[in-house]
Amino acid sequence: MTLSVCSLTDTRSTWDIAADLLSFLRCGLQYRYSRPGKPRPSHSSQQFSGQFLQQVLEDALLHSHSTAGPSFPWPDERLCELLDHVERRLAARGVRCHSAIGRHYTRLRAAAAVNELGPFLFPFLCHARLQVRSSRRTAEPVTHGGSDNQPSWELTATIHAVARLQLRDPAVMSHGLVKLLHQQLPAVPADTVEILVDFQGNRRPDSSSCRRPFEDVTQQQIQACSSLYSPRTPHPVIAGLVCYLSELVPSRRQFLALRKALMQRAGDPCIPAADSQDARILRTWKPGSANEVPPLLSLAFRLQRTLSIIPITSAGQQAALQHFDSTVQRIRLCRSRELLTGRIVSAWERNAANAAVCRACDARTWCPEHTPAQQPELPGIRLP
Amino acid sequence: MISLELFLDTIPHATGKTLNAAQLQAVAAPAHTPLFIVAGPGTGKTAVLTLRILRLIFVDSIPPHAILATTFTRRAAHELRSRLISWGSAILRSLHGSSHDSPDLPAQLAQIELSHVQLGTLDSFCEQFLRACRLPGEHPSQLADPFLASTLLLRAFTSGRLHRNPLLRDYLQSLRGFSGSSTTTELRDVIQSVSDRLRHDLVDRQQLLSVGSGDFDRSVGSAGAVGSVDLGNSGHSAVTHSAVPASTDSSCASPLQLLLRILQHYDEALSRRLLCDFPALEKAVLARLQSTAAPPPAVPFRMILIDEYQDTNLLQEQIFFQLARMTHAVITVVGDDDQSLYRFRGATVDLFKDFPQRHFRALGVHPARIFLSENYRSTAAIIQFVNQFVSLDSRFQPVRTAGKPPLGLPRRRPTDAPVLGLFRDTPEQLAESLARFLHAVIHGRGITVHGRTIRPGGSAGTAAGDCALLCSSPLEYTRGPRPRQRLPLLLRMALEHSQPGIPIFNPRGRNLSQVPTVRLLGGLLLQCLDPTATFQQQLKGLSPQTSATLTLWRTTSTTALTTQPHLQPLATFTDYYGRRDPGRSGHVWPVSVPCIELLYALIHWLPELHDSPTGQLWFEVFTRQLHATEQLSRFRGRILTDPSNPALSAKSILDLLRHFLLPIAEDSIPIDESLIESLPRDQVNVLSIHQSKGLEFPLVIVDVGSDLQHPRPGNAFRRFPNGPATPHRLEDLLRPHSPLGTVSRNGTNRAFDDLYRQYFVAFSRPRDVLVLAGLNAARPGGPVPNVACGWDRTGRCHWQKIPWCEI
Repeated sequence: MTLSVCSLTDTRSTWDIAADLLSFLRCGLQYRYSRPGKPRPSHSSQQFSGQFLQQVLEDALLHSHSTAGPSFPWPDERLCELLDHVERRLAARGVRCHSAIGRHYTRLRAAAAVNELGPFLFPFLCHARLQVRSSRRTAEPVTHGGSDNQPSWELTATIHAVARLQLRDPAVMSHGLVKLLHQQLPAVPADTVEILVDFQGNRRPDSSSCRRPFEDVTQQQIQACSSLYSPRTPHPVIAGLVCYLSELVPSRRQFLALRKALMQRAGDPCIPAADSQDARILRTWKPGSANEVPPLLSLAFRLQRTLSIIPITSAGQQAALQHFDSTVQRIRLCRSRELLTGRIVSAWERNAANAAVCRACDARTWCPEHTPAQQPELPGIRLP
Repeated sequence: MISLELFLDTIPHATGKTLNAAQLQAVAAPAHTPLFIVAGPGTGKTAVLTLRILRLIFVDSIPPHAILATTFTRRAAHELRSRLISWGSAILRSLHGSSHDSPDLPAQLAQIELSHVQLGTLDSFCEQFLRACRLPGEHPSQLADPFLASTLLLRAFTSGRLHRNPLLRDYLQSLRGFSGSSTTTELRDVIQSVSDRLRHDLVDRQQLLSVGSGDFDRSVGSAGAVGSVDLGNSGHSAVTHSAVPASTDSSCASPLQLLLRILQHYDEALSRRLLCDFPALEKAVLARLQSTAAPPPAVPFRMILIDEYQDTNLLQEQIFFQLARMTHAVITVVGDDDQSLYRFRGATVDLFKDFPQRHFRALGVHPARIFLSENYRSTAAIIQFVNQFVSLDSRFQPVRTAGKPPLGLPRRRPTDAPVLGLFRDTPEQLAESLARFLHAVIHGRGITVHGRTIRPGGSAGTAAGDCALLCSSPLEYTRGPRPRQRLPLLLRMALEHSQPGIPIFNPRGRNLSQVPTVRLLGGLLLQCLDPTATFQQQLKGLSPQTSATLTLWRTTSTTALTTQPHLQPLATFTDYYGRRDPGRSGHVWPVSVPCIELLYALIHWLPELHDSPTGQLWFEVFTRQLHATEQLSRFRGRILTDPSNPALSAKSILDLLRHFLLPIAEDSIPIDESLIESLPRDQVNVLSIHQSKGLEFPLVIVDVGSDLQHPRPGNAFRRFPNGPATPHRLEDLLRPHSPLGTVSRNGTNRAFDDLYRQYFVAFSRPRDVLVLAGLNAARPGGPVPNVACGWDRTGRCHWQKIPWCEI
């Protein structure tokens, strides 16, 4: 008799848009090393920041929807208690911030998210942390280097929050969020509509050239999530609202970048007008110690930088889903290559285009794509 | 939505699957009928579960989100979900393309979202459930890493020097049941089992304490005081278990009381860190489901399907029954009592066998019983052997599900290989012969037995990954002060020396601390953290074995750095690190550095750890242990270098040695097998029989006695039990105080039953070739009674005529 052969069928059938696909698109090799369940990264500050902010807002929303919830602004004591609890919860899962200044900023941003963004957003939120799924399939069975992959799979995503509102209701017409939607959407329906809200711990992508691909991916994420979510609601999902929470309390680096942009790009809606008070603060602030938090600009301006509206369109949804379908195939191809060759670095796509992604990557010293090639550095603090 | 007939007609061309009569019965049973499906190995259980779910959706119009399906492992959940989406999509396509009478059908089909079926392990369901129904201000506990949990339990055991208490040790030793003395870690494992079973079996702790522990307590003289112990005062209010009377004075507590106190301290330690273990998670869900004060939000289930039900425990059963009571959902269970392997983790096989009666008592309906027995996996020779094995012991038959038919024989093909037996006088000879056999099948022209040739399968020979060795334990060395080499190690060495060499994949059996790359990384870490071994010498209670391992690690790294020129930059790095010298002018060494950064810096020079999937498994052990250290140490896994406080700096290093490196050197950290997404194709797999559950291989070698040279009491539990083992002793202790009640069958008989089940699972894994391997002493008619070789529990060997071909 001839022995049968085990097939190399990839039985993985669930792909999460954020945890798998966006992560892969940032860099395939980094995704291979850091996807859930793999060895913990050394630089967990970014992971900490995003998860901390999302969970604080989720908990705060839970409180604000209960009868015993505090009104805005939350008292410091209550807010601190919440932040401490969330921090302990993350620590229990091994997610910590090793940088004291990073932790300080994240807590400041969380407090601002609750007390400044909360009143703006919470009254309209009807769901928080919603898991959505949808099955997908390729036209033909997929074969990669000797392994057969299932032609069907499912996309999943976690929607941070959903806002439900009536944009022509006179009672809310003066509300900031409603005004923003009126300003930025091409058309405002008369019926009740829903908006997907996405909380991001990072800064708003620079509107200048090189960062565009990542912003596009965020847009595709929103479009795809809306497609997955739409069957669950009778209301039209007309937009996504991305909240770049880092903009609520900009870091020193962000502040200085904003000052530079002010000098270079007049007329950008995300840059203060040259004669505004915010512009004056930006121009005149003199940085002191390295840990000094820059002065806060006006709430209106910070919210303007924090919030980004993405109109949902049918074409946008289709394009996003197709893009993510092809991303699943690319990941499967990498997995097959790894299985067949027994090697990781050569099997996975690599992308060193974004310096911030590489800075947080533990593989940067052995990644062939990352230049200049470097060896690990010994710990050291520059003497003043 | 569509008729059952149309659905059944669609299956063959949409999925390529033709159902046999029993499978058809399971798929076609009305939606409102609860089902008790007894599915033997390889009988298409996953296919039936998948099609049953699809039938509920397509025929009965049950919304996918109203269907809950749970599996035993994440791997099984992946497989079921993959099949569900794949077949469901194919059926949808087929229905869209066919002519049908209902004009509404296309719109109805377009509404179906298959991925909305709630499918996963019970634990993942529990986590989601608690998250979904939490109230403002509630902070659900996170699941603790198992190693962290067991370390906290060890702390609770050793605090107040309880682990030195002779009566408590005797008591735990009696529960463990092995002759000879046990290490503290082994006794900790007994406490862990007690902890799990108390919750799995919903034991009434007050009753347990008030009645005492019966024979066990009496046998170790619990009536007397147990010396002076100081448990301290926890002072924490978030105590999960409060059954131990607070007034109990430690100095006059019985061993059972002390044991429960240890568990109380363990629960407190977890809860202080917002952590919980699996049983606590499930218990929290049951409490929430039963709560009248804070009832959970409506759960939408109409159907609950449970896979591998033979390994369910009472706590889990109660969760399923409570969900069904609340939602009027219909339950379907699938399983096979003959494949129940997890009694040691709290499974109660009787819950499966008695499911029809228990379901009726709980929900007032009799489930329909269906037997799946047509085997699609193995050859007729293998199935015949498996059937013969499982029926040879007449006293095993009453505990099997009543009315279960034997596995159906597939058509016999003249070229099929017979079952093979490979027995030799010594383990070394056995390993050499097995290596030659595997080499012939993998790299040679095959092997001819009784005129039938077993040929390699692929165009380039058989992939090594298509072959597996299944053992009771895959460990390469015996435990104890004088470890001996076992078959997995001997086979690895023999295969490595063959030309070309064949590697072995045995992540659970290899002593991690001895893997060359782990030795090198361990040595480098020691050189960076403690270059002169100053702190290592301050560690108390280091066993000679662990000291030797640490020395070996240092030697390995020193040798590598001095003999391999390409590692010169690494030598410089470790040298500077050891001196805490930043190596560049104008810089000072930071007061606090996370050790995880050092770990990642070191693997830059070690491609085996960053470029190989297997190396990543080893590396993950280091990162996971460092995470545990962050939880256990007040320094949170950091290296302090504070010239103004050298004592504190020293303590940070001592903590890293103690909590991070020592557990790895002691081999007490298991590989996380859930990280293994695919078994490697180029390595022969060595697995425990438990690990092999749910897997199949073209060629399987079952170790039926590679170290059974003599009938020693120490190996009786693996071949011919002479008494109950730990899980059976715990059942005897705790079941009288559980709603399950006292076990009627004695512990020795249950130990025999479990052994038959274990080898039944092992023998039913191969598709094409089954090889039994062992020492001649353990073969039928040999001096060592051995269940796997045809002995029944009366001491009679049924295989006077050997049912395999010798090679």
